[in-house]
Amino acid sequence: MTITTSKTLLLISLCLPSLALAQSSVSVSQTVTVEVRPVTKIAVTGNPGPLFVTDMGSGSDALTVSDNSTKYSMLTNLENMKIVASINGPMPQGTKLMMKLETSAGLSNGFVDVSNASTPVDVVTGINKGSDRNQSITYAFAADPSVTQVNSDSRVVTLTLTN
Amino acid sequence: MLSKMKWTRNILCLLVFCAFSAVELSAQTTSSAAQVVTFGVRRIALQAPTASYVANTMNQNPVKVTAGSQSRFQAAVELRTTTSEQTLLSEEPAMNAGVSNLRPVAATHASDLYNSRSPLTKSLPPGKLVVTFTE
Repeated sequence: MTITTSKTLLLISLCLPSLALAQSSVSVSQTVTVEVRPVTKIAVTGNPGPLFVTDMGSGSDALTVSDNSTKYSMLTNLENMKIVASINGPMPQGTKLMMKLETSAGLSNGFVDVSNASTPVDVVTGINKGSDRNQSITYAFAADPSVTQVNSDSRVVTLTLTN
Repeated sequence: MLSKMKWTRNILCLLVFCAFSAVELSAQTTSSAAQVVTFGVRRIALQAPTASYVANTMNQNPVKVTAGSQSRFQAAVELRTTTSEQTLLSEEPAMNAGVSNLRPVAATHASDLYNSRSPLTKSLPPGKLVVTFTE
C-alpha cells in the first residue's frame, strides 16, 4: 500500500513541470488602431500697437506708419497649405492697411493690401508639413495727404491657415 | 425596468456623440487667429507759409505764417536762404532786423503762428520760410 502511494506521488511530481511549461505558451492578442488625422494650428501673440499717422500734411506722398511687434506660430501635417488674411470691415476712404508675414516654411507674398479683404487674400503660400514658430507680423497703415483726420478706430484682422 | 433601459440607452448615445465630436475637433484642416488693429490720422491742416520776401528789395510787408487749429502742436519758424539752406538767424543776424521775434510759437487756434509786426527793414537774399511742427 505504501509502495503504491509513493509511486503515485512520484508520478505526479514528475508531471508538474510539464504542466507549468504548457501554461507559458498561452497568449492573448489585442488590436491597436492607429490613425493620423489632419492637424492645423495657428496662433498670434496679442495685438499690434496703435498705428497713428501724425505729420504736417505738407508732403505729396502718402505717409506710412508700421508695427512689427507681434508674431505668429503655425503647425500643420498637411502639404501645400497657405495663410490667408481677412478684415471685418473696409478701411476709411483714403487710408490703406497692409500686412506682411515673415515665414521660413513657405513663400511670403510681401506687403499685401487687406484694406478691403472681406474675402480672404493670400499672405503666405506653399507651406508644407511642419511648424514655423515666432515669425513676425508687420502692419503698415498709410493715409493719403488729402486725409487730414481719422478718429481712432480699429479693425479685426483674421489669419487663417488653410488649404 | 423599461425606464432604466431607456436611461442607459440615452447615456450611451450621449457618450457616442461626445466621442465623435472629440474626433471631429481633433481633425482640423483650417485654423484661425485674430488680431485687433487700431489706427488713426492726426494731421495738421497746414496752410503753406504765406510769407515770402524778395531778393535785394525792401520788403514792405510783415512776415506772416498761418496754420490750422491744432493746439497740440508747436511751430518753430525760421528764415532760410535758398542757396545755402542756412538759418539767417544764426548766419546773418544783422539781416534779421524786424524779425527778431522768431521763436517757437504755440498754435492754440487757427491764427497767425508768426507775425513780424513790422515791415522788414533790410534787404534779404533769396530765401524761404521753414515751419517745423512738433508735438
